[in-house]
Amino acid sequence: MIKGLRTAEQAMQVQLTRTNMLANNLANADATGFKQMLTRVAESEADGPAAERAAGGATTPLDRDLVTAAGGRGGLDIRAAVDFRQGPLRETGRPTDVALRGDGLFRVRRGEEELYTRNGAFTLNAQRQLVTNSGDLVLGSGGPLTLPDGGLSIAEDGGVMVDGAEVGRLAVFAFADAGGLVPRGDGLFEAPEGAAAEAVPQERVNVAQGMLEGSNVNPIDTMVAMIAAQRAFELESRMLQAADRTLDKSVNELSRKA
Amino acid sequence: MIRAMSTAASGMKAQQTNIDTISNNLANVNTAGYKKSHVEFQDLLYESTVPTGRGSGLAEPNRVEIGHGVKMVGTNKIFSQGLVQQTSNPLDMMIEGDGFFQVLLPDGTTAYTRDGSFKLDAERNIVTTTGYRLQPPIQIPLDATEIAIARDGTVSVLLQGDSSTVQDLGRLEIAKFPNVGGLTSRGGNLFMASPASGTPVLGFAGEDGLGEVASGFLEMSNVETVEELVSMISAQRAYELNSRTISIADEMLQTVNQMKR
Repeated sequence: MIKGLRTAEQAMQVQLTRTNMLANNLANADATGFKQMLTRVAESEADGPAAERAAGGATTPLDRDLVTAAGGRGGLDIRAAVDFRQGPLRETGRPTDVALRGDGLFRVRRGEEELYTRNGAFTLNAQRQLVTNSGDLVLGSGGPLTLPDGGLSIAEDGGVMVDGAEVGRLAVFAFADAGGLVPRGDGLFEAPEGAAAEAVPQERVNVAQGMLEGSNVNPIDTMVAMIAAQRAFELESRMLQAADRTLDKSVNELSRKA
Repeated sequence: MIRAMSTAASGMKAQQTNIDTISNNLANVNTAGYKKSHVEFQDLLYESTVPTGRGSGLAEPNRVEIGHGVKMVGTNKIFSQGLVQQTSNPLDMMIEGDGFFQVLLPDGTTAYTRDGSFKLDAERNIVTTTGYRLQPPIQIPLDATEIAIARDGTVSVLLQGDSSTVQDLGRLEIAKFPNVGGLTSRGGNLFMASPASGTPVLGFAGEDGLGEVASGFLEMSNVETVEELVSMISAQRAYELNSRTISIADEMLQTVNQMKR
């Protein structure tokens, strides 16, 4: 019986987490190269109904109903993955701005770490190295890119040219399971342990100079999902109240009659 | 309590800065030599959480990354060429291409500008509208009848009573930066060198990739009104969306409050 309370509470927690993630997506609707987090609420495999049945099952009919409504015996999981769908490109005309079309991420170096980003709003530091807006070094196929003075042009295949002479090549990497990359803020992603970065072959790299990739958040979808999460949260609060009332009846009223 | 509220607040703050920048661009739509700014946003740190109430024994770690919102990382100046206005005043100059005029500030430091609306001061030096001297200094003699500035930056005059001899007074020097995006704005149409911009490289107009000087023309601002208005509308809507997030979070808290009567 008390489990019913617990089930509803967990379901509310899940909706709360979802709302927090959706709020973050919405707040980043204008962030360059931002990739939204997708959430999926799923029954936990470890102790879903199947595991429950094997272990002896739910006890009272009401308890079972509540369990079914919440999708398992409180075994609710929220799963999140980065959605790497293409964001819209917008023109800036700045020669150091680049946008990626299709798969792949730029590789940057922050301190000792190598991280990945879709945010191509690059600039030059005082040493004329190509850096991100937060000052992290952008890596080419042969390490950081230092640009001599002159007219900069970046070819579609990532070749970096100054006054027509190639000085380096932007390194573009892809992952078999990009959704599993861990966001680190500042538009950067970290490859989880075991995830192998594969260099995208030169003929498949598609870089657009003078453009930036906008955020891939769709404000309408996000707002609708947030309202849905809010209503689900409300509904589950009712479930909790119902479980509470039933508990109240069985403990306080039934015992009095007995 | 509920993170969505502060996340949305960061979104509203970011959009507010965005609106501030756009309105500054729009206010300077008729400022000679003004270069528009664009705000860049990035996501804030993420917190790795495991949903509460999860028992142990899960085979895969079920991590959920929740962001804390958005922040402004910087305003990028866009140094594209501005619109051209013809004035027919020989002291109005425009650089066609890369480069900045050098201006001496009263404290002895050098500032850089694209605003070429120069005048003469009481000592007949070429100065900016605010009275700062052009570097290297060029003095126009009192008896000059006609001033001409060539495309390579050479300033020459015709003297009174002698309409056949052209007298050269000097040549304008133009500064170029390794990274123009790193210049800091000083206001008054002036830019200052910074560690990010690198040290200026001096040269003459039309040489070493520097632009040529067009006398009798002014470079106006590179702000495009339609583009700025569209950005402003979208910033306002984004602001509204974030405020909706706050009210949704608020209503969720209200639901919690009403659970036990």
